[in-house]
Amino acid sequence: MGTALGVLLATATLFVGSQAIAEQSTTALSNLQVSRASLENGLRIVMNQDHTVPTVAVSVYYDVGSRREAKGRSGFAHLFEHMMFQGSANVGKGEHFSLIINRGGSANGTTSNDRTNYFETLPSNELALGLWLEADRMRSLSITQENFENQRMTVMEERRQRIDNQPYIPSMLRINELAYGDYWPYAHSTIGDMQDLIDAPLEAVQEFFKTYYAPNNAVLSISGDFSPEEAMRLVEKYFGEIPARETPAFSEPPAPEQSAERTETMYDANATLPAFHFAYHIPPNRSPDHYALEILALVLGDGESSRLYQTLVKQEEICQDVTVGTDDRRGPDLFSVWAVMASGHAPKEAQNIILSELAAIASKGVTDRELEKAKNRIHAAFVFGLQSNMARSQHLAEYELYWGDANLLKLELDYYLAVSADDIKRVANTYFKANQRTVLDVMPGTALASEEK
Amino acid sequence: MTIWLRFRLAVVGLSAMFLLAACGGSKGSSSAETQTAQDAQAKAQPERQLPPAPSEAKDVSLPPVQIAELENRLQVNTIVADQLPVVYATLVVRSGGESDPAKLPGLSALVAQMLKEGTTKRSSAKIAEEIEFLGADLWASSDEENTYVGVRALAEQFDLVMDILAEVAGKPAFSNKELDKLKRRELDRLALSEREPQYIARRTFYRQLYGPHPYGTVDTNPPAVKRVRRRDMARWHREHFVGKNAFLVVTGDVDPVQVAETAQKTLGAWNAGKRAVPTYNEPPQRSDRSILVVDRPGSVQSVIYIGNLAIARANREWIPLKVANQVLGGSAASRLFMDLREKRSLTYGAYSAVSERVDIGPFVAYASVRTEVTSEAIGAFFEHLERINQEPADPEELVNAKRYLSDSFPLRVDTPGKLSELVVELRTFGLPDDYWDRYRQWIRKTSASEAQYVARNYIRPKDSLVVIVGQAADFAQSLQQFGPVTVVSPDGEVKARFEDKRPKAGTSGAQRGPIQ
Repeated sequence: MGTALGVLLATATLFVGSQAIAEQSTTALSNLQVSRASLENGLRIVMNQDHTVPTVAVSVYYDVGSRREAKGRSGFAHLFEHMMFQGSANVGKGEHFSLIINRGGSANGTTSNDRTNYFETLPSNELALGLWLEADRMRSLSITQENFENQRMTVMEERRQRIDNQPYIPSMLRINELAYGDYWPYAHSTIGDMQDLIDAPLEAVQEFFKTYYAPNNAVLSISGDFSPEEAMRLVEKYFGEIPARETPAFSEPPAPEQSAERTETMYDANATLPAFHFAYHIPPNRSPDHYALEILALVLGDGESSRLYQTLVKQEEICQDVTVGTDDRRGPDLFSVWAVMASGHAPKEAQNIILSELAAIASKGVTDRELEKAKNRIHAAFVFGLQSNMARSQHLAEYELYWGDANLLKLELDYYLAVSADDIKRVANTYFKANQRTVLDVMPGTALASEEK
Repeated sequence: MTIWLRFRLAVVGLSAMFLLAACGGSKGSSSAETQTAQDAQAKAQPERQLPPAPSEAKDVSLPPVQIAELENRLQVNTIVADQLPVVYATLVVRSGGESDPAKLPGLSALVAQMLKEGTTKRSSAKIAEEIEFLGADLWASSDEENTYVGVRALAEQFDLVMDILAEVAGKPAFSNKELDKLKRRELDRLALSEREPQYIARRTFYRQLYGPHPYGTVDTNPPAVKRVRRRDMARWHREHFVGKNAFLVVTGDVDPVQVAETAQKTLGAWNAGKRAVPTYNEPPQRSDRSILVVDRPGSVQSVIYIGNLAIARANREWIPLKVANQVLGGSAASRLFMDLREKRSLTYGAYSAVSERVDIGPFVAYASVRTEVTSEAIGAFFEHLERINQEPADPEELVNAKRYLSDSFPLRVDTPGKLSELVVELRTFGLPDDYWDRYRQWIRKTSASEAQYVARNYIRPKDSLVVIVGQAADFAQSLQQFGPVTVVSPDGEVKARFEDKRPKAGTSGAQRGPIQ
């Protein structure tokens, strides 16, 4: 999870302020050198030159994420991502990493609901290596039973290490199951169900590769110190012969429907303090209301000067921490609040305050200063968030893949800056209805122990 | 939305540890080395297409550091990096956890947190609001060696944010009301940390390894939080936040002369004071292996830390040791990862590191493994520690390790924030300004015998400390084959002891179990 714009705002953070600042960062954004191309096999290419440092970032985004997984096959997109590091026709098992690392680079891959990405940063004289490696596995991944068993075990260990053994993390999976209900693409977790991982057959992995890892289902993005002519020559050479394949379109199920508030209490043996999630249904990322909802999330929860941090953590001292945000999905999205209570305080106390803040914003809106601060933060976020070659290559690839044109990134800031106080009031009135809300309380301990009390 | 992201689950192919392990060097590798690496590959798989060779490398150095000194002897370091209209400023006070009073572990970290909670002029809420309104970020923290107050902003806000930074660092109110609030938050945080296996493992490992040495304390504790008073904080602050004990690092789209002027205006009124000299108590001498299991019933994994006291960052032998560690466990191309994860499927990731410390730093190898294979994983770790200790690395491994450490340097200088980190590293460890150029030469010149010589001295499986946090009943007794085992509860109460049943020579007995 951890989706695109979310990451952008994260690495960056947000902005506003004087007109001069706005002009500066707008310039930084519109100065991005972006060119686009495509091969006959449908591979889309985005190039962004920046010769500040002699490094080059290469990203490949495949239009497949956990939202495409069938029931009973959860965790496949991510398990497959691991397989992409297990070797191909000309690259031995484990060599993908070692070739890059041993030539001074770094590499990784991630899987979200909406896409799978692979990326490496290399000294700029190693661009050919990065492209060659990406092409080799796109063309000829080696999917053997042995590699598959090894990565299945690794992913199960990843699940234990990062989810099952950590306080509160299981609740992050549960809130999506609850809020999305029958909307399977987002209701199930990207890491996958342990049983589904155990049951996964090799043939299904091979099928997955054939179905989704085609050049026409991918975007290749290059940022940094390189010459576009030379890069295109290499791209043609390495990727040009990979055949296009028919890729099924994502069949979007009906949007999640909810007619009454959903509530649940779960127990977490690793937790010490009560906590809770709020989730409201909102429209997809980059839909008009989404910008206003993001700004509203900043007013409520971004930074120590935000409304909820000041109220719940500093003044009332009933929360240990509170975070507010949108998930920024391509499909039906959620507006979420996550809070860990201070000891001695129950979720209800904070929930009541949050509900009255939301009601207050629906009736009175936010102050001019709050709106300006949120916009300043977004503005700065764009500047800071596009500093590195890797960050630029990833954001551009995502815009190309999701929205059809990497250049849209350059205009994105304008949509945020155009949000008015009235927009915020309107979205607060539209989306924060009780029947659109899911509340998940997380209590320390086990259900049994709490009954015994 | 930085905070929000902490709670999002990004499913990543490799542990973030791997990304953090990146290290530096630039200048294209010599063509002889390139050839060696490729030849080795070609021999292994003659029918395969070879990966493309690099084109000519471009050199990159740390840009020049402009140094100025304020009248109070506070040193100002500036690097101009003007590709974007941004600035990073970090005020470093050369005292951190190593200067905590014995009775108040974590005092420096608590002081750092209190800096943002109000000055004699501005309230906590006002500081946050003013900084965030500018689209900037202000942070304060401490580690073993230093306390930091940093800010990131658009370049044209530099004077404004420096004004707030200097006020936060220099005129904290340490109000009792805010201190009470901080104490409540800290006590809740500490209680939660007690449930995190990584935290327990780390805290236990350092406490055991360093004993009374200040590096033995990795966090404050509830009694210290309850005990600390306003005047403890004010005194620690008064003593350490002085010109001779601090330096400023500024990188970004700035003019060094103006940076010095702004620094004089905002920080020039500080007392010169004196450079603080920490007391490093002797850590315990360890002559045999010991295995400590912290029982965490219900744990689905065992968190493993294995290591020993090793070396100070400024020691010249740190360089060849870094090379040896790169062969062993510095990245996802190293032996530990390739064997424990890729071959044996024991873990999501296994790594090792040589910490960077002013005084003697530790060598540490670590992984989280599933409970059933804890004993097999310990066996595998010892096998690799013995091997790096006993045998020189293969020529190909050595070439690869050196290339990574030297050629990844461009990746370490690609944003102003990273440039700042390199300067802080120079000043913290007293390294010369041309260090990062020499570093890469030293890495490239490291020979196999040199790397092995230092590995023999500084990676010592025979007197390692092993700390494992997990469900002890499932594996503690089986660890006897590696040395004497003590099982404790998380609060240190001894629950069981198992005697040493190592094969008589005291070797690791490299246990290879079946993969379950």
